[in-house]
Amino acid sequence: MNNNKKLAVFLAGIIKENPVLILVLGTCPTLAVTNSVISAFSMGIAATIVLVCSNMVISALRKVIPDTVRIPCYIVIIAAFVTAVQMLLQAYLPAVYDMLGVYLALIVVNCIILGRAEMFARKNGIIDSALDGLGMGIGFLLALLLMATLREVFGAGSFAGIVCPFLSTYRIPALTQAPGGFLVFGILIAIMNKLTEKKGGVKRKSFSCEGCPTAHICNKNECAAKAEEVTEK
Amino acid sequence: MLKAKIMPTVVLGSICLVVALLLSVVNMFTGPIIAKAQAEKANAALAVVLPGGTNFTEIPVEGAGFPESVTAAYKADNGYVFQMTVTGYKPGLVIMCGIDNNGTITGADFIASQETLYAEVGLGAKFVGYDKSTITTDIIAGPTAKLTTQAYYSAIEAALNAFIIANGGSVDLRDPAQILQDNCNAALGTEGVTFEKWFATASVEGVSALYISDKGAVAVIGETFVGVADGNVVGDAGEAEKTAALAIYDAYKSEKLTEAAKPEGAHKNVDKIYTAENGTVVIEMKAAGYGINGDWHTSGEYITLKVAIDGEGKIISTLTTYENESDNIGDVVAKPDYYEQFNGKTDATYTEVENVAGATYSTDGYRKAIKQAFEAYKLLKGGNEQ
Repeated sequence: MNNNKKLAVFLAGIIKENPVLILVLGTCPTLAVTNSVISAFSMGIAATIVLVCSNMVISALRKVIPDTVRIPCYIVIIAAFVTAVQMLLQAYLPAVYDMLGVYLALIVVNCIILGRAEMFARKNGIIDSALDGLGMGIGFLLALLLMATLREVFGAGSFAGIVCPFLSTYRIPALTQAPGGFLVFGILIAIMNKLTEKKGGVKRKSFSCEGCPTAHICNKNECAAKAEEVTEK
Repeated sequence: MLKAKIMPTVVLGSICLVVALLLSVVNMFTGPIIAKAQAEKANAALAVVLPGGTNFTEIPVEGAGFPESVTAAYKADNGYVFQMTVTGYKPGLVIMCGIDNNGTITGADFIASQETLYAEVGLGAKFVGYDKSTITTDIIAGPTAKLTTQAYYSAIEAALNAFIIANGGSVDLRDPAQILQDNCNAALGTEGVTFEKWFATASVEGVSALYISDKGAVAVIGETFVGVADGNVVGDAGEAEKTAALAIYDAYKSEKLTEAAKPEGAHKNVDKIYTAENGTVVIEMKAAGYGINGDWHTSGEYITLKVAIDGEGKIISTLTTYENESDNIGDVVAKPDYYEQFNGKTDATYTEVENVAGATYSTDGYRKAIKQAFEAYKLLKGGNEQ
């Protein structure tokens, strides 16, 4: 893979295949931690570390791990990194550990991490997998930060805990609650769809390979065959 | 074929082993730091109620003989911290109380609460400086959220008792009802006999209650329990106490109630009226509790009670005979601590008994019933005393 392709792999996760706003993965932590910028940032960093490390290890072991037990193996590897991150946070950043609560442990079952392991790391080399993990992690982090900024600034009238004088008077508390999270999430996805459409992005209304944002990395033949099977049925 | 079957197990097992090994290494570095941080955090929380407290060590609660509500206990260099879990308006009121080595409360606060009126907020500060000998219910006096404040008080009392026990002392932790039964048995020289409080229709000065059983009766005179069996006082007692005990026993034995016609104009809540030869009137009646607001039915059931009013218009006895009010809320009307407050009250003073916050419908209905009882009493006596 040449340098341009490596850059493309890295950049894909940030906008074109943004895990949160395009692939709509990792919705649970997205909605849960974006009521505060600090917790969103912490979650983004923790998930990125786990994503990069697990992608690299899974990629390195891809030829050793038998197909039949690959998912349990991935889960064990991901859980190991999550547990290590948990221990380190609890030891050195206890405030962040308390802030993230149960959602830190839930990184184990984050669809983004398992999804990248299954879709990318098991088919590509260590460097590419690390770049893919980093790009996806940064994409996840940016999406969380964007959403958290909107929710905290307009919902709580503060940014990263710093009170915004005018906005704190006219804040919309519902934005920091679950309904507000869904509302902001929906609006951001709609905006992202509109932007990517204008730039000649993928048409997500189609359910074929044409409309799939990860079509270029999946096994298109198998995908097409399955699609035909479904159509015949 | 064999390889295909064995390999997945071997690979997954190996990955698990390596992961466990690596995590144990991480834990080796982080474990002590985490443990230290957690201990500091716990100590900081405990030091809030025991200022200056250092070297907190947990005391095992199980088997320590502490009151049942004490769920955790810690010893520090300068005292103790006890954690109690009690039920106020709702279960789950968790209170921490610090007591210094002299037995004086240094701080108290709640760490979990389901209460609704926020009476627990700041209440702990009122107990600071008190000890076992000086603490009184005056600290929580007032009409606000009695269920919460009484539960808080009981938690602090439990902490003070636990302190005495932790220091090798002994405290009578029996249920008050059991203490009463035991005292009655001791006074009468019996064992295992069950006593019931007589719904008194007569009063004798100095006697606060008479407990009856098939083996005899026990009169409570101040702090003294005097047993009476077959018309004679059992055991030692002062002359005045003996006289009072025999007098109340005679009144009980000679009690004769005659049902009287319900006077015209008496409230419909009044069911039956009885008169005694000494002029006492006993009224059996209903009270509208929660769900039966005032005179109109929504749902729920009436509370039933009986009231004895002596010839001078003063309540001698009050007793709730039935209630189906909400658990731990309106059922306060069935507790002697509540309804016995009306004893000794007159038509002019019964309103001194305050409604219980959180159980307003039930207690307001009860108080209205007392008013209706006085109205019926006046009608029966035929006076227009207003």
